[in-house]
Amino acid sequence: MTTPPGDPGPAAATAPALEVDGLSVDIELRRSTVHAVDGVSLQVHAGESVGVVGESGCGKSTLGLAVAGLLPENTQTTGAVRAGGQPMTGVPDRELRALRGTKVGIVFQDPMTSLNPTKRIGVQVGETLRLQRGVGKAAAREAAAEMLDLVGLPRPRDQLDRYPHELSGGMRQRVVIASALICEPAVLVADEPTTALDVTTQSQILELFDDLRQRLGMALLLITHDMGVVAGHTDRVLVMYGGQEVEMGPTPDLFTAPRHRYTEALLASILHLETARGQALYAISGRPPDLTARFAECRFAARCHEAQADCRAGQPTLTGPDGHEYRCLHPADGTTRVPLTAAPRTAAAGGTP
Amino acid sequence: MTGSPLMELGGVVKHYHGTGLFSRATAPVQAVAGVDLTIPAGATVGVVGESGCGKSTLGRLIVGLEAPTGGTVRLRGRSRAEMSRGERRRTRGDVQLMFQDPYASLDPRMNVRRILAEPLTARGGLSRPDRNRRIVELADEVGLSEDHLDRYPHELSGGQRQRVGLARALAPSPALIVADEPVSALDVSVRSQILNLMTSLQAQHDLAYLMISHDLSVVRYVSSHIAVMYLGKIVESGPPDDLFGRPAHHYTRALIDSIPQPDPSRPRARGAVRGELPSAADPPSGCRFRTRCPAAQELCAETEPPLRPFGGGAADGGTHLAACHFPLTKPALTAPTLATPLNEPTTPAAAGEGRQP
Repeated sequence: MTTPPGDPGPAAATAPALEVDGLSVDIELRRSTVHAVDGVSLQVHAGESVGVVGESGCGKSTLGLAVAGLLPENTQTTGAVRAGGQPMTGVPDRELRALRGTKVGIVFQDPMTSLNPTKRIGVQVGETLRLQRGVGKAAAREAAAEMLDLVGLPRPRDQLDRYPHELSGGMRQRVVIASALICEPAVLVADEPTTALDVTTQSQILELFDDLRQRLGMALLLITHDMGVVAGHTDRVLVMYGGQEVEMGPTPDLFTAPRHRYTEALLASILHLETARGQALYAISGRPPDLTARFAECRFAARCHEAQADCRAGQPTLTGPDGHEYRCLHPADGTTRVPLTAAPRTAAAGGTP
Repeated sequence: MTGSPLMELGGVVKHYHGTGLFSRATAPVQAVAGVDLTIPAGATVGVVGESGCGKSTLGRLIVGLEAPTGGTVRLRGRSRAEMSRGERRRTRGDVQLMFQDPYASLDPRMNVRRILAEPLTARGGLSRPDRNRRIVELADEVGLSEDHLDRYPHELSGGQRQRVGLARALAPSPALIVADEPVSALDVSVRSQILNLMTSLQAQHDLAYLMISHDLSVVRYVSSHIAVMYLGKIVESGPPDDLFGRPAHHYTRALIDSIPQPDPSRPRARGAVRGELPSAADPPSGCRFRTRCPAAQELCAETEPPLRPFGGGAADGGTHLAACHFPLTKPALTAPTLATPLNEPTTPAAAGEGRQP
């Protein structure tokens, strides 16, 4: 049970656990179409961890849902997603249902919304195994206990008959992770898995991911808005903006030498523990673009402090050396500094009460 | 108002009893178990701790949404119980609450104008044109334009909604805003905007903040004093530089080590703190942190450690306090003569008052 998924065979040895190829996702609304993901390509190998960062509304979560085969019906997908060698796109819904949880596991932000409040922990964790693999009740319960032990739930056998509300937030998230991993998927998609948790619990869950990658050879797609989380727990980072990949590279490179101006701005927005008190904080002005629009210019140009005429003349393509690519005509090279936006507003109103 | 700090908590206790059908026999939950805290006018005091440590209950006690089971909550030296009805009414707007999730705290059927009008109407004393002028002024102060006033919460972004939440808190011209996780739900760049805004409003209005958060970076950035809470008690408090630079309590150390560092080259501290927060209905004997503490010994189970000064001790104003038998740094040599934590050097009058029995 706790042994790694094992030798995937000589042919699969080099095949990535997750392959996303030119993926676009359009969400059809009543009056408009949201182009949530626009031509994203990505590979995650077994045991590797790739972070996906960007502000809300940049397509991160839609990408995660597409990878897990969980997109709602009002979506149009082009491009391809393969997980553990199995296509996850262009597959009829019935076949997709049979795949869910076996190739890709997914963990969401709020564990309480992923768990069924009326079902006991042991039943919930073992459920996928019973449905997808036809495993018997007793065996599924046994497997659930082992998986709960693996994800670090204390006294797992005592927890099997408890209900989700009897557990703390961190323990619930461990239960969700256990259910996501019970069928030993090749890839785990974690969408803001620790945002609702305390810092102490957060570090425990992130360490758990590191362990699981090592022990199970699990590939991890870690979607988060917290740059601190990706810094310590990913090998590579994909920066998304306006539904596109704007930069992707090894995590250390991305943090020390970001090329895209958006990455640079995101890094400048981080509140460090050392940030001096009262020092004005950098904030990216404006908001991410409306994705119902079609773009004829760099999507970040409107908020970019380095934007020039050619940035508005057409959409930049991905460039850069192998392994660290970016979509920017005037990339950062470490010589420029992100200017602080105007110091805190000093309105005329006010004064001492 | 002579020398009394803006807000002063003395030995505040809040118990919740089980109210369910079958829960008559359950032990009360000690959400807050004897907290002393002072918030001087115009200052920012931060409270950090895990969920369930009682920090939000503390905020609700300070705002007056809850009455303490024991101890006193004093606004400018007067507890609510001592106040006459008129005085209570006059001071009602002085302490305001700002929530984490503005979407959940704004009425979806009201536009921004009505949301802001409500606290002004409730206070009374403003003519309609004055009230309208004040609404526009409030919107402007938080960086919203006049046409935002006719929008509904669902038409606003998360950052704009939090600006509305801030404007609503500002409406009665408070002296203190209790901000319970005000930026936790926001993107990094929006978070910066809101924090910058809160800083500038503080300077303009001589506002005090109680910043409640589990995010240590945020609390350190805004606060001049920080209290670390664990299971209803303050286990360490002091100026941010002392607390983060020379933490005395193992829990504070663990919290600091748990922060994900946005720097891939920095080694990560593994296994900062194990396990879960114990139940507040049945806290461990002695030191409440001992069940998760790497340095716990027998003494920790037997005797509860008192808060005692660290750093320069009384010579330093006695502002860095920690409750630990086996602290990470040496305690101050001076005897713990002051039991009231978080005394600003500017409010010596409060220093003489002891802890409430």
